[in-house]
Amino acid sequence: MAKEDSFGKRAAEEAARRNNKNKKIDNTPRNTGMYVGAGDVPGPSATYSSSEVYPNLQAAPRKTAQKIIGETPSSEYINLVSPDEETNIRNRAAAAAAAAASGSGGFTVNYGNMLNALKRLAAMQQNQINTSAGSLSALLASQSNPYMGMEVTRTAPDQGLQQLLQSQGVDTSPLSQFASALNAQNTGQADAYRNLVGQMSGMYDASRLGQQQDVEANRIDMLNALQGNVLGTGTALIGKKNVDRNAIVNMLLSAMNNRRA
Amino acid sequence: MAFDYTAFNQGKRAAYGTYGAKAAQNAYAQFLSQQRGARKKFDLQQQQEKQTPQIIGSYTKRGLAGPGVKSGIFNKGMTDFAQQNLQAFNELQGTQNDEINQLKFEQAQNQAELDQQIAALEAQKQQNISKAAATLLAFKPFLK
Repeated sequence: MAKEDSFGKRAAEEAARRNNKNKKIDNTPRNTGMYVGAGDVPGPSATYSSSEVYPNLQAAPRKTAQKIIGETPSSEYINLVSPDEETNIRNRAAAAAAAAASGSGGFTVNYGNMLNALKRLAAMQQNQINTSAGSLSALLASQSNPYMGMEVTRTAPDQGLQQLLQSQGVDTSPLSQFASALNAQNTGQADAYRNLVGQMSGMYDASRLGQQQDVEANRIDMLNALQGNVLGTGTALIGKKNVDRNAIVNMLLSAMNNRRA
Repeated sequence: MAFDYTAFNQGKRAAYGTYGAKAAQNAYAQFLSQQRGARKKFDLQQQQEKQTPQIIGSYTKRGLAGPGVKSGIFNKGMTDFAQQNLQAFNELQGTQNDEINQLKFEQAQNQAELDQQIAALEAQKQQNISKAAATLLAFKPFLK
């Protein structure tokens, strides 16, 4: 036996008190039990009399309520999900239909576009890495060794003094021997200086060679890191569910526009 | 995100400016050293030219030098005179050569230091560019 609805009775009395005589009373029997949805009323015990019908949506079936407020009852998700999620649901449905029709299955249209954009961005980044590494290698190769070709200034014995002695009839042998001793001393100093310059030159070449090797190693590391990040990001885009896709697309477009500029 | 090259360009300009100042100072020092050495060499030659006839004349007065005269004292004296002048000239030239070589070495060191600074700046810039290009971590804040 249905429970008496005292609240509805009071609402009807309120309407009558307001002289709302022209208002059409909806005498459609309503099912206020646990069954939600349109359809026939289970039985006379679950219906209300016309005097107890009230113009509100409480416990009304969803589709009925939508009809009353003027909404299209065909949309199952209006006002229940966000516009982005609604778009995603539609896209997944369309992709599922397309996959079912073509037999391929797989990504949605949005996923495919983002992955293609990711691939293009990865190609541009790879080119940027190679270009920067190449310019640095060219700079290192263009630097010349400042120690290369340094000439050592040596002291030459004065020939004028030997000529003076010869003009006076003096034997020049002692002077020549003394000059040879001085020359040997000067040669030793020059060789020491030349060795120092050679050491510095070798250190310079070794440092530059090491820098060039570091550039190549860093380039390889960056390319590997780029590849890993691309694969990881692509996998995450495929696997993740709660993703701010619009933000990702906007970021990709912004990055590509900046690099084009 | 656009990459900012301002700091690196400023560093390069500072490096080139420092090198230019050192190179100019070095070139002027070499010029002064050569000029000082040339002046001292001229003074030494002048002194030698003045002393030569005085020494020969002193031996001639004593009959130890002259046409047809052979004297061991004169030979020893002239040889010693020549060796002293040669040694003085050698020390003067050696000192100047050492200064010039030292200045050239410092100039080469300045050049090497400049090359190292430029290479370090370029390497750092290249590393930043490569890291920005290789790292796609910007995606990760958007993945939940």
